[in-house]
Amino acid sequence: MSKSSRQEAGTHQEQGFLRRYVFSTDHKIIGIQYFLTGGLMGVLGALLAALIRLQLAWPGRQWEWLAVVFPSGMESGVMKPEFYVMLVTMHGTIMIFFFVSFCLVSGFGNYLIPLQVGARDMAFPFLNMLSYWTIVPAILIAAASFFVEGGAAASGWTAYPPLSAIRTAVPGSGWGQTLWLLAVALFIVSFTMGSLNFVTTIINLRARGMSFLRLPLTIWCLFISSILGLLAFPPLTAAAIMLLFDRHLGSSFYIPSGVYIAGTLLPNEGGSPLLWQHLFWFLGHPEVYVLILPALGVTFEVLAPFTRRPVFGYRLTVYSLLVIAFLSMVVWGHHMFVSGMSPVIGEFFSVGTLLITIPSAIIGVNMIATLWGGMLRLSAAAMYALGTIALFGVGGMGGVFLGNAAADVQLHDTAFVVGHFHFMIGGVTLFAIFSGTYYWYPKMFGRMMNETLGKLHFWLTIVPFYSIFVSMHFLGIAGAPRRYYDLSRYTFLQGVDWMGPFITIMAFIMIGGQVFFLVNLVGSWWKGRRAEANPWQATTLEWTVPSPPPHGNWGDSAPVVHRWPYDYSRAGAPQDFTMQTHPTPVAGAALERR
Amino acid sequence: MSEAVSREAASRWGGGVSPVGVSWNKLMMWLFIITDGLLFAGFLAAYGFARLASAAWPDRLEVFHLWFISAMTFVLISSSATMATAVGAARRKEGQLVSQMIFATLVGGTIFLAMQAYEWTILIGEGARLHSNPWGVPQFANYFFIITGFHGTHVLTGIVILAVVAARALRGRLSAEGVELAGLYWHFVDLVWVFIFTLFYLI
Amino acid sequence: MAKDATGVPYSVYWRTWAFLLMLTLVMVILDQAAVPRPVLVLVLLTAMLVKAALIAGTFMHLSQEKLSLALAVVTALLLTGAVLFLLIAPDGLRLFQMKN
Repeated sequence: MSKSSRQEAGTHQEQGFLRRYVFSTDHKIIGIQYFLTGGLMGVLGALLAALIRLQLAWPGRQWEWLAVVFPSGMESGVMKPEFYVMLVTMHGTIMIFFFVSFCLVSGFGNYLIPLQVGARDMAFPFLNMLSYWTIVPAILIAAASFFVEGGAAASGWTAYPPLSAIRTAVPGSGWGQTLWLLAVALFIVSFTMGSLNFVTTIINLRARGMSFLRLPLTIWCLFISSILGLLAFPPLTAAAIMLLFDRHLGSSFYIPSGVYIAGTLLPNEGGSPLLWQHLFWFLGHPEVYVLILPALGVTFEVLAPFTRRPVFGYRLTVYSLLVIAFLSMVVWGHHMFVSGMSPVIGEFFSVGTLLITIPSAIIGVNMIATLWGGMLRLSAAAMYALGTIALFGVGGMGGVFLGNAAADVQLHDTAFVVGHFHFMIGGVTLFAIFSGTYYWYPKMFGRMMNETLGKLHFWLTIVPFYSIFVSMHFLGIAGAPRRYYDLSRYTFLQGVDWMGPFITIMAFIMIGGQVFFLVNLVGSWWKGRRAEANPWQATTLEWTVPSPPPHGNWGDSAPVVHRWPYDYSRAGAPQDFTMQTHPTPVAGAALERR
Repeated sequence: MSEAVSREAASRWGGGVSPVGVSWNKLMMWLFIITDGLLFAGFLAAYGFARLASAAWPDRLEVFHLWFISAMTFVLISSSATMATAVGAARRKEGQLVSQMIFATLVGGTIFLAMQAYEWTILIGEGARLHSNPWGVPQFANYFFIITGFHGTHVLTGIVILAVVAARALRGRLSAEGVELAGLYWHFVDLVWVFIFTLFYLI
Repeated sequence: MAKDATGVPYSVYWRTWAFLLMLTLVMVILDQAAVPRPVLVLVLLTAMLVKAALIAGTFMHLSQEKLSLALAVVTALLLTGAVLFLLIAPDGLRLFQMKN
């Protein structure tokens, strides 16, 4: 491993542009590639959301200019229901797999893991490069699916059969769904390659002195997240292969007997749509923890240097993360309470789901306790980290309602669910992506981001965010179903129909606010103040090397670690932080004995 | 005694060495085996679900030629034994034995695939298809083909990998670790067959 | 890495091979005998796990690796697979009951 990285470091200077920046095996370049790609997909996902919101706020309205862009889906400017469902499907798919996963797990994971554990690169840099270049065709296929006959998939990101299994069910169930399955399959291959690298690197390539309980929490979270992914994705792969067989080879894994399409009885018999739901959610639930765990890790990572306090309850947090990960693998049925699943198993899933609130609450409390007595430096990164804590708490409370099988009978498939999951994987993760970007941008690009623009961006994000997704909780309680094309035709929703336009206007403000972020990203790279090695005076390993770090990360000698990553504010110490590489002993009394 | 053990464990887990005592590529191969194994677990769990939900299931003694399948199992297990010998020989740098054993493994794998293909031909001849089968249970044939098909694909991949390793060995570029990694994959394929053989053919 | 020099004598592999074959024979013979179904299933599953343990332990050298690796592999595979099956099986049974 170090053999190949050192050989590479030697020949690195002679490599051409393509090998250094396009087909790079350097984890830092690959991480940035993932960020940029993920960011692009996030913009696409946001555009899809804008279209969804246009429809929900003003259903039946004519948008002539959109008819030009979408001649079949929005003939004469009015959105067709099939088009709407396709938007919802692709928005979810793109945001979950191609935005949050790329930026948070693959982006931060690739960039930070070798740096924070003290390795020169990932265990298998070539495989790492392959993992990035596997998602490029995945994205191209997903993008192409918009342009095939019938349009992109329209069965929800959850792709439930029979809608997804029968090629003539809805327009998107034809080529669109097949391409969707291929894109997701490629994503799974890529993610698996990445996870193999992440787990191997964290186990085998830690620097001397970097024991597991001295790992930064970001690494703990990425480690657990990768293991979750490795365990949870394969059954979905199996399920997706069976779905492809049902679609194209006439099998009946999921299609029961007695299905009529356009008046014709299909010959299938013996299949069960419930089987797909089980296999899908077996991944689907751990997947959301795969996404949220790194977000929590990044939050802890940012809180410590900006409060000049050690993370409160580091070990307890690690144990809680492990418990959450374990429990997350046995609670997937809470997505299926009203599916016809056995109610006895439903109770089991319900109890497990509610149990997860305990370690989650512990983590939330630890985050808040980290602030106690701290000297808060309210930079943009810190503001987003604080926002994450709030979102985790508020959004998590919605989960308590949904985890209760009885309450879920009313709330399932309503806007309440939409509000809840947007808090968790559209809020906590999004804010962590922003927080981490403001925090690590100086390390990645050697430039500081503009703090004023950052704070403006923060307010233009958090206020609309709460407005949108808290409203959705109330919409859901009022009975508004999710994925419905037109809510205005239901008289029982008339009392809350003001929420449609309200949410949409807030959504546009929020999307508009992101422009400041994009301007900040580009402008700072071009003209930002040059960053030193450790602009935030933080303690973890990546801050011991120049910004940006050289190829091979550490120069001639690998680092040796002497302490845990959150040695802040020792009473009587010369500085209010002590780096992990600082040799023992240090003057002063530690806030936490390590 | 326990202090020495805990000090040793502490140093093993203290960074700078592999705490599980294997190189990065072997660790990665084991992680890959876990992932690929869970792919088969997904298929088998789905099969178990479908079987429990079915009113009847074809009598294995009527549909399968159990002694033929047992012969297939014998071939695969034997190929696993020759592979293990090859790995041991590679560690001891006995180049000729390595080549012979890898060749024997290749032969075993190919025979297994041929026998599997033959079994498919027989069943397809009797009317088994993905969408229907003559034994009255809709879910039987599709699970049969998908599970044995995926296993067969893995055997084929293993054959390709072994062919590459054999070619390298013949050219004198033998690496004990390469043989061992290929061996892990091959044994994994055999391991999956143990589960398929029992859960699909015997039970 | 640790056990390269001496390694395992080849005879270990071939004795394992013989035992695996014998176990397979027993399983197939039993399968065709008039054994009550629950007993048959239990015996076959046990034999399956023994065969798996032998292949993993001997052929894949898992018995010589550090305990942490062996435990990680076995737990990940068996526990995850078992959890997946055990939690979806009741729904399979329920479908059967609803159909009949």
